[in-house]
Parts: sequence; C-alpha cells; structure tokens
Amino acid sequence: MDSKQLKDFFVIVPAYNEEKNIREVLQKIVLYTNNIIVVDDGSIDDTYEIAKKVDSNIIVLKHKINLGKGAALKTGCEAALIRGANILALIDSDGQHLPEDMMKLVEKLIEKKLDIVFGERTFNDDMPFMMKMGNQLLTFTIKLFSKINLSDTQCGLRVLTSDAYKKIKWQEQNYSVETEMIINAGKYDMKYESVGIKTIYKDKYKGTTIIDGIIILINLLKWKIL
Amino acid sequence: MILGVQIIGLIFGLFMAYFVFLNYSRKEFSKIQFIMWEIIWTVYVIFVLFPNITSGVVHRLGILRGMDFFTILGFMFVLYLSFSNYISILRIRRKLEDSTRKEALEGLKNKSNGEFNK
Repeated sequence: MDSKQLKDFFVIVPAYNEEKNIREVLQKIVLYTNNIIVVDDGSIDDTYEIAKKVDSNIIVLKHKINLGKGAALKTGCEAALIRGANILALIDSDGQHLPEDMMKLVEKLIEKKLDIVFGERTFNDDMPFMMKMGNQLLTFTIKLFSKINLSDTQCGLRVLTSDAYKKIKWQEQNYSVETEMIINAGKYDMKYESVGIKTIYKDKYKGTTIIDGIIILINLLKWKIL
Repeated sequence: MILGVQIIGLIFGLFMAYFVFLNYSRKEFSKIQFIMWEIIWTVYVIFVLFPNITSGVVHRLGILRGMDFFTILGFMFVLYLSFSNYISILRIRRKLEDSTRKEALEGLKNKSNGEFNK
C-alpha cells in the first residue's frame, strides 16, 4: 500500500521531553506519510524546536503546560479532524515503535474494515521489569472488565478511524488513556483486531510502570462504576 | 477547669480564626466568606471551651461524650472538604485542558502546514 497516497491518514505523535529521539522518529515516519501532527506536551527541552525543523509539512502543536499523554493525543486527534482525517495512527515519540509496524496496523484496519487496531508487544526480556509487571497486572484486570481481549493493553501504537475516535473520545489526561480507549471501544462494540509489533526500549523509566498500573486500576473502577 | 486537650483546641481555633482574617486582609476571601468562616471558628471555640452545652443533643443522638460528637462532626467536615476539593480540581483541570488545547489549535484551520509552523 502506498501510504503517501492516503491523504486522509494522519499520524499523531505526542511528545514530552523527547529532544533525543524526536528527530529520528519523525524522519522515519515521514517516509510513509506527510500528514504528521506532533503535540509537544509542555516540554522543557528543545523537543518543539527540533520537531519543527525536521520537515516543513509536519504540523507541530504546543501545549503551554504539561497536561499528560491522554490530553496530547486528544489535541492531536482534534487537529487531524480539522485537517479532514479519516484514519488516525497514534505512535509514541520515544522511538519504541517502528513506522513499518504502524503501516501493518493501517493495512489491517482498511482491509478488514475495522474500527480500531491495537499494536501488541511481546513481553520478552528486553522489556524493563517494572514495566512488564505493570502491564501484566493491568492486562489481567482489563480482561475481567472489558469485552476487548488483548494480550497487551498498554501499547501506545494504535490505529483507528475518525468515526471510532469520535465515539471513544477519552477524558483521561495521563497514561490511563490507553485503558480508557479499550474500555470505551468495548462499550461501543467496536470491530477490533491486534497486530504483533516489535518494540525498542530506550528508557526504562518512561512508559507505564507498576505505579501507573495501580493508578489505572483505580480509574478502571471509576469508569465502570460511574 | 480547662483540660489540656481544650487548650490545644482553643489555640487551633484561634489560629484558624486569625488565618481567615489574614486571607480576608489579603482580599482572598469576600466579606461573606470571611463572616461565614469566622462564625464557624467562633462556634468551634465555644464548643471547645464549653463542651457541656452540646450534651443535650449528644445524648439524644446516642453519643456518650461531647468530644466524640465533635470528632464525628470534624470527620464529616473533612470528608465534605475533600470531596468539594476533588470536584473543584476536576473542574479546573478540565478548563485548563480545554484552554491549552484551544491555544494549541489556534490558526490550524486557516493556515497551510508550512505557514502554521512559522
């Protein structure tokens, strides 16, 4: 599939203090599409300036204050809708996802006419221990609460249609966004599938740790009860 | 005779009344808020100094001592404050998010990508 011809396909990249990785990440994505929206979530480093210099076609938005990954993703999705997007790809800015994997998710979404496609990482020894613990605890609990059955509920690489986004629009501002998306997708009986992806871990202190896992669990109860 | 715990309660009540006055002087409280809070702390000080005035109500509620009644009231008040703070924080967070997003998206509709990034 020639992704450059996909005019209504947009990639959303939320970024917070990613000056070390953002250039490389964007240079890789730009090979597949020009429709890239970076949301700098109040970084205190040069993420915003670096992102702006990578390619003039990339839209770089800035949150004046750090709101969290969920809020940054929402801003990116809203921007994509303004630009007429029909397919939204959400990818992390720390370089842990490969754009070629993102394209596999896009292909599956289009081929099978799905609402949402989730990336699924393999829990091997490369994944930092605390992250692995947090993920497995959450995955187990989410299976109990949601109609969606995934082996990795915290992977940030996801592709969805703009109609699906409008329905599952999340409220969470932080890392709970991935879980809220799943719970909402289950609520609306969305057509979904998952695709196995490769992951490169550059920073073992970023991402979902066991502490985030506990916070997400508390939120999970809140979403189910309220 | 005033008990030790009453002295602590009295000092706390007077300190809080002063704290309310300080906030009012800094114009952080309106006149109504100032009066309301001062009444609350004055009533608190009266109850601390004369715990027996609550005994009628306390016994009717099945509580043994005025102090227990006071502790229960205190817990209820703290729970109410926590809940009210939680709601306020949620509201502020939502407003902050909306306004930050609005600012980030400003101009996106009318400008091309290149123009937007300038």
